[in-house]
Amino acid sequence: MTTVDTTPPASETRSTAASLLRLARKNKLSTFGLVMFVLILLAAVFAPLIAPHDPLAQNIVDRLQDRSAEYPLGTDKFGRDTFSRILYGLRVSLLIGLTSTALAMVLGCALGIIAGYRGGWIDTVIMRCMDMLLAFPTLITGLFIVAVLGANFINIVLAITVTILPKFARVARAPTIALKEREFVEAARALGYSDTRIMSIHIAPNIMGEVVVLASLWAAYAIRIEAYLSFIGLGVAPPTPTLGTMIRDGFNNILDAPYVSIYPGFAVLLVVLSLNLVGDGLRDAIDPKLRD
Amino acid sequence: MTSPLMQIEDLSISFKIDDEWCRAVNGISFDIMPNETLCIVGESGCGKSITAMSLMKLLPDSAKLGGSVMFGERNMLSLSERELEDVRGSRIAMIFQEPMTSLNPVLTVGEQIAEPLVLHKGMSWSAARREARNLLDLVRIPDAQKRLGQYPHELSGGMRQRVMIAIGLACRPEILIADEPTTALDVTIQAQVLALLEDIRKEQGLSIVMITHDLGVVANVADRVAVMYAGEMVETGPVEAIFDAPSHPYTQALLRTVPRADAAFELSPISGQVPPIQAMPDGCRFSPRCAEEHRACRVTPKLSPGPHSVACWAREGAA
Amino acid sequence: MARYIIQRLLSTIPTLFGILTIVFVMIRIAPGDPALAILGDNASQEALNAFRERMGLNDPMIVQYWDFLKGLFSGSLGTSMVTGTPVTESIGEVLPFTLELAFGAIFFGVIIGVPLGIISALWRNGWLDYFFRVVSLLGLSFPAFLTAILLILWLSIEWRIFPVISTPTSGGLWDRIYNLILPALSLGLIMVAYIMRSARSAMLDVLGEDYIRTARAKGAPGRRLIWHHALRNALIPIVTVVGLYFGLLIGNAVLTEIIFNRPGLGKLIVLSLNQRDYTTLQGLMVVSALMIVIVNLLTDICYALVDPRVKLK
Repeated sequence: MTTVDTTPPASETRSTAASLLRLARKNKLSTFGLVMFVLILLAAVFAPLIAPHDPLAQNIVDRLQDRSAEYPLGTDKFGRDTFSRILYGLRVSLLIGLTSTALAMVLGCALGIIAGYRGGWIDTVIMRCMDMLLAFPTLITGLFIVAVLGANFINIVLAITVTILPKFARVARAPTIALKEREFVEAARALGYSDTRIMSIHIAPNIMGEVVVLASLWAAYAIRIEAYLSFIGLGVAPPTPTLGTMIRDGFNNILDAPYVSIYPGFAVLLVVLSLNLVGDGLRDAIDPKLRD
Repeated sequence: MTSPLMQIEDLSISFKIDDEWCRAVNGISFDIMPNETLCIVGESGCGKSITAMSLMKLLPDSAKLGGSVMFGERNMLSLSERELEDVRGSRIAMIFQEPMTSLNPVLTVGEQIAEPLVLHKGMSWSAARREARNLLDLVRIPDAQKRLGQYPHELSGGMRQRVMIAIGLACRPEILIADEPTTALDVTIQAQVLALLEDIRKEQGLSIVMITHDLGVVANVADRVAVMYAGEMVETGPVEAIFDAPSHPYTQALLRTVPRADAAFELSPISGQVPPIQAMPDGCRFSPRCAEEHRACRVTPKLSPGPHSVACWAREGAA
Repeated sequence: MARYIIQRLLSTIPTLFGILTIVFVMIRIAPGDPALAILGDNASQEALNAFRERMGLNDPMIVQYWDFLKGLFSGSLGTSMVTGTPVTESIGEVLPFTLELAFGAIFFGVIIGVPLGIISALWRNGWLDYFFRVVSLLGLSFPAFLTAILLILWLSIEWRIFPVISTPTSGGLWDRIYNLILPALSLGLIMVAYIMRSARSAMLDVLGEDYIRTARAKGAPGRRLIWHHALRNALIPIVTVVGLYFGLLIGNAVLTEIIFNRPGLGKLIVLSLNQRDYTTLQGLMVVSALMIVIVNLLTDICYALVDPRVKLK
């Protein structure tokens, strides 16, 4: 009797883990990015403990101040502490950015895998829809959705998800087409496993490496879109501080107090940079063609 | 006796693999005589291609070169990049294995053939293009005028290799190095290209160094043969001598791998494998695969003197 | 060539059609009554009804859709819900400013990004390469508004080279260019990062090609190798990147316009958002999708110009 091994090759996931370790030693920049991101994440999570002031507390006497011991990053035009507001703003940025990336990753991969695995008209319909979404300038898609549906947490997450979802679908589809011809998938099919089971257990884990890399890069992008949307005035409703809104508000005082806009701007930069550093290093580790 | 055109003395080429220098070519010496076809044969990975490249110092900077390549009074290996540019394409030219990828896809055939003329002979582009037309005639490409304005992708593989040859011949070089020029071509086209090279050599009186793994090619065109194994030269001599009286055990084994009409022995592959470059045996590099044994095999043998020389302790006259 | 362009435009019709439908449906299913949103809560019932009638909002959805498509075929995007001016007119008025900004940004992106990418590739793994790569990663991460703010602070306020607010409508051509430089540079710096990275990797790929070795064997000097033999081949993937990121560029142009207070699609978008002018918004979506389609076409034409293997058929 012959036994058919239907477990997907584990070597691919293991080699990813191994290359991650190698990367951490070799690519100091992405390790640095990871540390930076974790620190920012912790700062956002523990914002209530770290923030020296109430982010909403106005103190008109101390308005538009530069850095001081009392206000580490100065104050805005209402005398609110910029540093505390940035910490709370980061919570919004990270929550929206990471939620929408996770949603886009799950939905996009599911669509991509189904399109690639099923082929035929299902593939055509799914990918045509993705093409349509890609036909808009990304920020404008997000802008339109939030504008039409109204600016609140759920709609912003939805808008960003829809914007970046096609990218995941594309990345998941191509390897699925290759994988479905591989022996372990054919064996699973011969054993009568359902398509859903094959797609979720046998195909999905094998394309995760590439998807995770993309996720970190698109999370960086999602966070930027959130900042852009709130900069335009389509952020979560005040008084919750968001980085984009802070930058926009500070812009009115750009001549006499530029720091009011600049510090939140740098906060966006740091989050995005940390994720880009991680994603860049991961991509180098996983895609040998892009490695030096 | 004529003096050699180029003298290669104790040439060695090393690459860094995992932080360790590995000798891909280990101290080889040979001469290139005027108006001859010298074939360097060996299995893939024996170092013949990098040897060919090093004659023009075309290897990347990561390669460490030792020994000397004397061309006239000058050692190619110690010339500056500026001086090398003057020699490359004008006095020594090279054609490569892959005609598909060796031509620049975005430049016209005419421009690519005319370029060395402009670079080295100081011709104007229009004069060089006229000369390019003659060169296309020389390499027997029909419809030359039309071809000049075409791009490489519009030509067949054999046609592209002829264009490569035309580029190589443009400045009437003294030496033409051909690295597996026919490997990528169909058999019938192969024969045409080889015949063309042979005719041109006779007409123009240049020397051809042909790198190949194909003993059929060697039998066709070679005047002299140099056999390489694992980065070393194991036997050199006139083509008749090598084919009729191969001396080195490797050469003998190599010849047994090709079918011959007059073969008295059975076809047989060489047992074992070429050792990896990081783990070369001491002494004779062929010894682990060699049927014969000599007490000195653990010491590197040197090529014996004379027109037909061999590097094997088990042969008489080996030093 | 003309035939190719027409064919390409025709082939995008299904996608465009889908886009139009999505935009149309989204606007109709949007929560809230546009009449109420525009006329305000205090508007009388008659006024609201008159508005709905005028904008065709009382018709069944399918009739509205039909009118919308009919309008498109006659080149109309409807009239603004707020001002009553044709949408094509208000978009046409500001579109040139966005386009000149976008192309100005691409110009800066290319003239700065390509040489830096090439230098990076040639000094591969040297300290300069390392430095440029860090800089480009930083560039990729810079939010558009931060770049703009920093440029304004340095070049306008500190050094007083460029005006803080870009007012391209006054004065002649030179004035227009002068007003364009700072916003275009600010937007272009994002492109610089993308172009630099792709130029670097394209150059590295090309330098490893056999034909570069052939050119070296011909005795072509280093400069000629890079600028003549390698660059034209490396341009092919660079063209792709420029085309690919045009969408990103348009999105960022919106932000740049707002910061520099320049007329353009960005300001129009924000204005119609604030006024709940759905027809104008709908028109803006259609136009921006159309822009992407045209840029993709231009990218293909550029391909054919750079790469003789590509035939426009």
